[in-house]
Amino acid sequence: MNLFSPETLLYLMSNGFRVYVIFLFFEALFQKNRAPKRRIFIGFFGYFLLNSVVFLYYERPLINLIVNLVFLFGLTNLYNIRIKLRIFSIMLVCILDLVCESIVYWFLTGILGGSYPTTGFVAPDLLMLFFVVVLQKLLEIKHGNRISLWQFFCIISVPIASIFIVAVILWEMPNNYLDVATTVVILLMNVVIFRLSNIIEGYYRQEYQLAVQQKQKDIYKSQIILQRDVAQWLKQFRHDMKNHLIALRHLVDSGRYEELSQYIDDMGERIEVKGEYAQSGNFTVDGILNVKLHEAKQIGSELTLEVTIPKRLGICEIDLNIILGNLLDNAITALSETSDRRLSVKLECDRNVLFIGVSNTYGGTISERNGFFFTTKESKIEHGFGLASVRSVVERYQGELKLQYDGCHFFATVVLYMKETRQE
Amino acid sequence: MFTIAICDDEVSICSQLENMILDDAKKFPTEPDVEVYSSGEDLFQDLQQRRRFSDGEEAQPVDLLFLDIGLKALDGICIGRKIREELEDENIQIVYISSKKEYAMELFDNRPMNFLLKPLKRDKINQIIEKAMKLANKGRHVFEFYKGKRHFRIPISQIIYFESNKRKIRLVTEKQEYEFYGKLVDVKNKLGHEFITIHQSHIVHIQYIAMYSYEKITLVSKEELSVSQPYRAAVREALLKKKGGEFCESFQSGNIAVFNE
Repeated sequence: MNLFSPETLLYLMSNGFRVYVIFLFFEALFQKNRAPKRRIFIGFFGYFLLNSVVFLYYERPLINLIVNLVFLFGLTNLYNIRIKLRIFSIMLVCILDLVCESIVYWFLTGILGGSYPTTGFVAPDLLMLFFVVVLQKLLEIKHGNRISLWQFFCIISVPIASIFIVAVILWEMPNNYLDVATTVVILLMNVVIFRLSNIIEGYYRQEYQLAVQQKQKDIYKSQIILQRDVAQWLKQFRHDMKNHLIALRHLVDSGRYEELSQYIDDMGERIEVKGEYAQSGNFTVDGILNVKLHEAKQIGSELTLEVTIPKRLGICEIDLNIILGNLLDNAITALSETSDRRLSVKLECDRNVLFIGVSNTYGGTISERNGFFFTTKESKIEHGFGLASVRSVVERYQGELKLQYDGCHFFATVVLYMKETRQE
Repeated sequence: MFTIAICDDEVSICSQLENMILDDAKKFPTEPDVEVYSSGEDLFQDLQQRRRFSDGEEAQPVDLLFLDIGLKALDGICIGRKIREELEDENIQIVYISSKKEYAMELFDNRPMNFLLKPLKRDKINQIIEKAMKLANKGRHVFEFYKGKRHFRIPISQIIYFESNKRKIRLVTEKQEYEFYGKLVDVKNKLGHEFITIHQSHIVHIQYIAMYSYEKITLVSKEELSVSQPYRAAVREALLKKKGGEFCESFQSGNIAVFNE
């Protein structure tokens, strides 16, 4: 067998592409549980070589299949996963392989009524890429990450379009190197576009992280300003104490006990500084609650707040920020659309379980789609994604988010199991 | 019989609270007895005394304790810990009285029922007393079983958990263990919501759970029991329902405690 004949070269290139697709498949399935890059590269390259050699020199399909399975199993050793998952993933690869080849075969012989060797060779691999991209996106949705539908369609259209191009350009079995080169270029293009898309996604994700951190900084800032106001006020109050004491003494001496009682109540009330609702001692919680509750108060809502949590919680600040921030944002948006504005917030820590409850009144009607809630008037996309973020954080603490509503009240309740290490 | 204890080194708080409770005493399902202590040591000594006699039922145990966090000498955190660890009393409901809204983590280790802020509000106090009475009532129910010809009646408040092994059920209380023949399913049917099933062979009294996590629970005795896969979601859901239930109901009924508690 001539190693450098166009057919062989074509086979090698498309097999290489196929191995790359298997690599992507494993990445999507196993996430980061893998050996360092160098070993991965050597491993997959080794698989490619062995696989190609076996296919080229032994023409028996059954042996090829078995040997392929064995090599795949060896490949899974690069990943730190349990036996069950390994076997499952290998089976999935084989099934995917089979499905792609069958689809292409059926399409070519059944529908087009002919055999188009080059296409039949290369198309299944491109189809595999298509499926792997779909799988990747599905897994991302499952993890609560945003995916852009537009970007998704752009990406999957590339392998499909490539199949079309390959079919049109390369009708017969290649007998010259130009055909092979053309096909290789198309395959490489797919790889490049796919890589590019991942990089762009990475940037989006970074941007999102930065936005969350920025929001958090803003909240810290307002909390610091608030505490500075409190300190300022107290200083003033202490200074005024002298006058207060004189007034109190006067009221006592002249027996005006009614007025005295009122005066004392007034003093008690004034000790609460305007805009300071939460004083749990937990900086993040107080920060977010103060900002959001103030917003709600500004639009005239009746507030109820109950916070019984220790100063240090076994949940990290960013996560608290995401949960409380999103739930309260949703609540405030809903409140602004009704005339009966009531908001109730509760945080309770008990036996390592953190309970968070946010209830609010709302206007309009609620429509539910895929577990996401929207009211008729709000921006649907913002609202839906806020809850998705909350869900993914809650999942990380193995907790649960429950959303309920009746005619005019909406309830969001969360329980979380806190981590042993306490927040600093 | 329902005994409420108040412990605060500020006499004014003690008498204010005592008066508030006695004023509304008739409104409660049971008329409570109120005992006042001005120091942590006095309180603890008395609790010890009552515990010693509880078997012979001469002195009544304290059901609800309003405890000042900032006591001099033995402070609230310390007393709470001594009650839970030295006296090993999980039945007494502890409500901490405090003047600030910041709470140290150690307070939560004593498993308090709630926190009361100064200035004292009558509504909140009544709410707390009613809830404590409900819990105490449930605790007085007994669990009955037969072992051979002997009939046993164990108060729910003492039962920590049930464990099944083949056809035998093991009932574990603070002081001792009992064994009898039966099926866990039947046991479960006789019990209320104070018990949760965490495993095919374990049913636990939530009052004796010190810590929850998704895969296991830790009892107050530091013993760990694992929550098996099929029950994890159910346990979590029960927690959510319990804590969320009250929260949602009070919002719905428009029963709003005015902001600032």
